[in-house]
Amino acid sequence: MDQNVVIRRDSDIAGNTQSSKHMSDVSSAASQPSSRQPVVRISGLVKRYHEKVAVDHFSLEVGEGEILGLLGPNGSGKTTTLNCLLALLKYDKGDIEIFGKPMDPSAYDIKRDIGVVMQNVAVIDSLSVYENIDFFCGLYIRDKALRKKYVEQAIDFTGLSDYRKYRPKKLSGGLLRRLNIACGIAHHPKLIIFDEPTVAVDPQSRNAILEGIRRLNKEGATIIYTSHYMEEVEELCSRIVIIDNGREVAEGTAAELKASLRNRETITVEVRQISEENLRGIREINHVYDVVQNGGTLVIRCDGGSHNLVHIMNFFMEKNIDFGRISTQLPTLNDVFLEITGKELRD
Amino acid sequence: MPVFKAFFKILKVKGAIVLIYVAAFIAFMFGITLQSESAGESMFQTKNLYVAVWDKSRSALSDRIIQMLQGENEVSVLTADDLQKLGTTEKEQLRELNDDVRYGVFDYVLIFPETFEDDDQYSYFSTSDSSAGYIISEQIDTFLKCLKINMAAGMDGDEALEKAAEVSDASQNAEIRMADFSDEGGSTHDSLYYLYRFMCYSVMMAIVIGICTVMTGMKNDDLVRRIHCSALSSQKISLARFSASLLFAVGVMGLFVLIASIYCLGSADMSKNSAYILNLVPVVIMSAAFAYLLSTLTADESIINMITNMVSLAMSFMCGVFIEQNMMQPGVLKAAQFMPFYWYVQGVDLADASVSVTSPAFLQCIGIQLLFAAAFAAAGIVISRSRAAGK
Amino acid sequence: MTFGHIFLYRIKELFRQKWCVGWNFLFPLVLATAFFVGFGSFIRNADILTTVDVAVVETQDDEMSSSFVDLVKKLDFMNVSVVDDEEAQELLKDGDVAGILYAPSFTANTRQLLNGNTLDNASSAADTLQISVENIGSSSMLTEDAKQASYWINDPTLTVAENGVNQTILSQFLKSYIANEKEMAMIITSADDPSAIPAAIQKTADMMAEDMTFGSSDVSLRYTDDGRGQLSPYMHYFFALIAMASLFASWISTSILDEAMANHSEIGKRNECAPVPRAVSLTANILSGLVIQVISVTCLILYIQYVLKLNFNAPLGYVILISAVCSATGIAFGVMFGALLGNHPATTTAVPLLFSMGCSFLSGLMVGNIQQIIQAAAPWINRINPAALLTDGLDSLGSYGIGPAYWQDVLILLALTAAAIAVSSLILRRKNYASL
Repeated sequence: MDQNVVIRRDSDIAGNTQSSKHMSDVSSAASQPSSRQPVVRISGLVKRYHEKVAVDHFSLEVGEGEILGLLGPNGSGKTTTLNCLLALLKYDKGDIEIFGKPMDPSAYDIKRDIGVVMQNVAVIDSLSVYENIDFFCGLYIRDKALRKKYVEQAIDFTGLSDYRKYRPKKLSGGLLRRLNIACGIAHHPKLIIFDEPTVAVDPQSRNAILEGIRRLNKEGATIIYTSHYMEEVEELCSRIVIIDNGREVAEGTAAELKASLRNRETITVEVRQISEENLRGIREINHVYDVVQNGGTLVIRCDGGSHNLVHIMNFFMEKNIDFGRISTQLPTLNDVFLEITGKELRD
Repeated sequence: MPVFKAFFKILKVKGAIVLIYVAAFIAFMFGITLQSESAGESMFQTKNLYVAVWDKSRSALSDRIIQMLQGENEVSVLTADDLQKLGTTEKEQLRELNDDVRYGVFDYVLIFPETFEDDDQYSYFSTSDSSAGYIISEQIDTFLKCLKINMAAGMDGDEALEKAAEVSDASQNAEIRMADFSDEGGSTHDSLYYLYRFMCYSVMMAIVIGICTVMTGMKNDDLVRRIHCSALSSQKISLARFSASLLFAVGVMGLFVLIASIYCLGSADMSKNSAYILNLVPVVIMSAAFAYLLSTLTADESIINMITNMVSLAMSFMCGVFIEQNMMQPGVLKAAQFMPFYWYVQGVDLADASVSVTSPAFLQCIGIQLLFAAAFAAAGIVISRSRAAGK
Repeated sequence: MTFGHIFLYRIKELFRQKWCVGWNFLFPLVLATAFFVGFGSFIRNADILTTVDVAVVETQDDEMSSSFVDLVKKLDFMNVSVVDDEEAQELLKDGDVAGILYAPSFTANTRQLLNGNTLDNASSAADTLQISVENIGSSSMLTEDAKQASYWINDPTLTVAENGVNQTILSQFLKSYIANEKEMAMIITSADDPSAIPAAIQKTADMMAEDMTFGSSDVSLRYTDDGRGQLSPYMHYFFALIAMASLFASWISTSILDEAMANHSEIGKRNECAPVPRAVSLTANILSGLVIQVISVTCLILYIQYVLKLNFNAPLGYVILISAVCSATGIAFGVMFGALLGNHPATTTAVPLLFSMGCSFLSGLMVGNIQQIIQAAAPWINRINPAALLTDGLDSLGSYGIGPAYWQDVLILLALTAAAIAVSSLILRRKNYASL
């Protein structure tokens, strides 16, 4: 297992902020592009709703220029953490700093450099596309000329030039999401929080959105990105934090997280018939740790090695086992997520 | 059946808001009824009017007039202390007295100036909603007239006063009979009459807003599509919705009728209650149909509220719900015949007059109201279908 | 300026919302028109005599009866149908007439005295009486009974079917007629010198004729200063309507809170993430709502004054001023409701509607006298009901002009506004939320 990946089990978590901090220092040192002061620092955040602890001594650091993916099942505390970060929610314990300064509801100098793209579309129905972007940009940028320039840039950036006079009700889901993004980023913020920005969006719009986020990052924005679409997070984020039950349960790059899994390769073989003896034989092949027969298919899991497919095919040929198609699959982030957070339904 | 049941499940969730509306409109209904009861019955009576007198002249003539008025009214002659409490200047005192009339403390304020004995000129404040001003002024004018005639006939001051007082007293015994059309007509209105007269406004508001509050919960586009993808035909869906609305409307009507009946038990002629209820049924159906029509036009609760308020308030004023039909201009009443509330008020009057529910007049009132209901329902169905087809 | 930016955009937004335009602009105009159609004529024609439909039945074929009928027909405010008793009863039952006047007639005593002669004029009557006195030469003419009018004349009577203004007018007409008749009889029978009787009768008849006019049923003489002219009491309905329209501002402010507060909507969250102090944002929003409201109420006032041509009897600037203050009260109360109730579904529709309609109802929107009843039973309600304060202020303005009563109402409205804002500030001053 990669030393830079931290995976926490329930038994490890005892509100030990000291060790969390140490661990996150290690991991962030490995993946953070810059060693400057982190843009976001959350230390030991605790938020309770009556008896339920929504966020349980959660700590997080986001370096400048990072795209941090924040993953977690429904009800894990992601949105609560973000709301606390934005000073919308009161919290019970912990510290939150943004740009090196403590964050609170009246920290307008900090807020000026934050952009938020909400999970639910937050635009005003009776204003047009242009007016929406102009209105929200105007809450951050006072200079009229500068604001006008930024609004035009945001419209171009999100590909809404042909729809500037349209009202939100007339826009498709994808366009609405792009408008939602434009309203959140028009003022050129240094820190942008994307909370599931591609929900119910077609592949083309999603692709455009992800491209846009990469560009924003290239232009210097630090990004916190949450999503349930693992392939997006894998593609986009430089570092991933997985949160469950209000606690951090894993942290690292996508590769590091995948490498942390026992299952490094899954080989699927179509077999009409195979004896128990041969099954035992397959289990004895190097790196094979699990063999499951599902009807006419054999699923073989390997915990390492680089030539597992060759070994297995050699075995089949040696034993004259009749087989059909073979496929091999490397672990995905989805696998990591399910492995860490479990397969039970949430919410 | 599922759409029908869904209506009531949503009603359960939104029940608090619907209940607030229903309670508020019941309160309005009682408020108007109580006020109208107290105002209407006293208009014909000249007894127990509250009269305040500011006698600056302190003359025998003013004294005699005050005596004459005291015979049938509650008269307060303002003393210096009373005037001081009203204000320090005459202007303030007069304004206070005017406000007393405005707020019903007095029905009539009579002021005799210092020169009253010489020029017979007096002034007064009154309101127009009772006929107090008219009656009291006429009593005074008649008295003064008799006095002048007596003096013109050669009587001296005292004798002229006495004789004028005698004549004035005698004239109060004029024979005025109240016709009794009890088998075919009522002469006075009891509380049940007023409750039912105003009930149409409250019932319509409560039903339409209640139904639309629930219907807007079913108006989400995706939800509508999901329902229309089902095996239920659009006719069945519309029928289910309308049936549920109607059942709700009947429930609201039941509540209003129950409360009105309990309130009037023992104090009103309950034999007319069934006729009132029968007359109310078309209003209930019409309100449900109107709610259905509105819900096909828009899902916006604010707009529904607005249209409902506009229609029901405007109708109530123009059709004789708040102001008696016999006080309205003939042209207005003619135009009002194109509105359902006009026929409802006519029906209430017929029920109050104990006209048979099978009489042509009563059946006409009910029939026309039902036609309005049918028109609203038909419009709602047509719009609903065309929108479903368009989507 | 962020304040100006929010203010202007909010106005644009409100003007584009159908419910805002409908409720705040259209609804009051529609209702004002309905009021006008319903009873505008009462206001316009306050000085014109109303017509009372009456059936007159001649009980006997004599001069007394016929002269009564002639008299009644001459009266402008009577619409007379001379019919027989049966037809009169039918007309009364159907509500086609307000009452039945049964004409006076000569008693048997008079008929005997006349002995088949007729009374053409007062002089002839006097001559007849003189002849009779001289001829009879007995004391029967001077008995106490003979001095009573009822000895000579059967009084007119009235039959009505219900209580009402018209019935009251008829009853008063009857009483006045009988008073005149008794007066006439008294003059005739109490004169010492028979030769003075003709002149007295003539004068009495002249005075009767001259004084037999009656004012409008809408007798509403109220005190006014400086010859301002009368403010029709029906204007009170329009004042209550203006109050309701002003209080519709509470609707605007609940929608304002929805977009300004993070615990109300997603837009609220976005707004609260912005570097704009909540006080600035809320103030700009509220002010924009107030501007919209003042514009809508001004339109209503101008519509009533110039289109419906109903007179407020006061400078319009002051009418608009107190309406604007009442609108501010409505906005403040709406903010308070939103602050107290949070994101409860009742806040958006039910509470503002019932607040504005409830206050308006208690100030006389549907029935004009409710404010008086409340004043007698619980006057403090009128002092805290914004709608009642507005109607009272407009009433004072129209009746007395600009004076202490008007300013007192304005000040109380301002105090209510301040109180609502204070309560709202206490609740809204927290910086963030326990939950969203």
